[in-house]
Amino acid sequence: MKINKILCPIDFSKHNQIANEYASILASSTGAEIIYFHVTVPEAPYGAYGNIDPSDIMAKDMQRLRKVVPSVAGVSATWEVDFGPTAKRIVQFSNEHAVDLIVVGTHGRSGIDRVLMGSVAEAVVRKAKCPVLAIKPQASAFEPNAVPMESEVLNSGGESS
Amino acid sequence: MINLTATHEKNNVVCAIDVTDFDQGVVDLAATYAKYFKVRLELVHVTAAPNRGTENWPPDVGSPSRLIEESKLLDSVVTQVPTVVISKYHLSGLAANSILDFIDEQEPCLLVMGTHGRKGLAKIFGSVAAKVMRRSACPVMVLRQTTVVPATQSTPKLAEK
Repeated sequence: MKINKILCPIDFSKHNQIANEYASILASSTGAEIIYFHVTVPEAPYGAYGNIDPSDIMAKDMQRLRKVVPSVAGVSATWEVDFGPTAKRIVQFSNEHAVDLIVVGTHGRSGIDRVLMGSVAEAVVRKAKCPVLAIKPQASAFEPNAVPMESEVLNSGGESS
Repeated sequence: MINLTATHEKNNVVCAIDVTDFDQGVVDLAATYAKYFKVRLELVHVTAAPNRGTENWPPDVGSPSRLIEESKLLDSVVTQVPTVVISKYHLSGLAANSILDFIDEQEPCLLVMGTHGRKGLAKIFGSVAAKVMRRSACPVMVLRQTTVVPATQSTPKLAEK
């Protein structure tokens, strides 16, 4: 079982940083490549997809996404932006590109929030064909004995404007 | 049979399995990561305890014969991934709660488990994996079970008319 491609969906929230750190550590210990993937969501009411030209927003998002880099040196990465329903696009991308692992940050909603709002991470877990690693913000430090930890602190996310 | 050894090793990989619905792919995936991190793999199986006040299914839930049977099944679990040290734990109780208590105590760097990827009503009530994913302090890697059936073993498709 060789791990070649790790997909790390990014939505520019604070949960991404920890997901990126885990993805980087996993990539460095397995020799895999990280694909940073952002799904652009139009700033318009639902159902208005058809009337919006997403290319401008996608180009902007691509610029932001490029600032997300692996937190461990020596890990190769690529960046991809798509447009549409988030969980569906993530699963679609992972199927089309033979991704071996998806690493997602999650906020761990519970109760009525979960029923009404759902969670992208959970939807991805339910639909993805490959293993999904879900990381909550308060996840304990990830320090396997053998993994080199000389990683610089992540300088990603850019300015959250 | 139902005991936790006194060793309190941090940063292992824990793999929660259900021996009555066994999935080799989940164990091998967990073993692969344990090998990458050069840590021990801890396999956990939870035998359901009888519910108080409600009807139990299967009817012999919690009976000694069932415990022994599941213990034997757990003993027979092996992985093809070489050079991984495995310890096995047989717990009793509610699956999600027992697993969560176990990882609270062990503080692993990673929990690996399988799921069925249920839809419909179960999506709202949640599966064991979803419950664990929401409440666990450590990162959870979830593998959907349908994904690990080798192509040769899947049921042949009916010829189209």
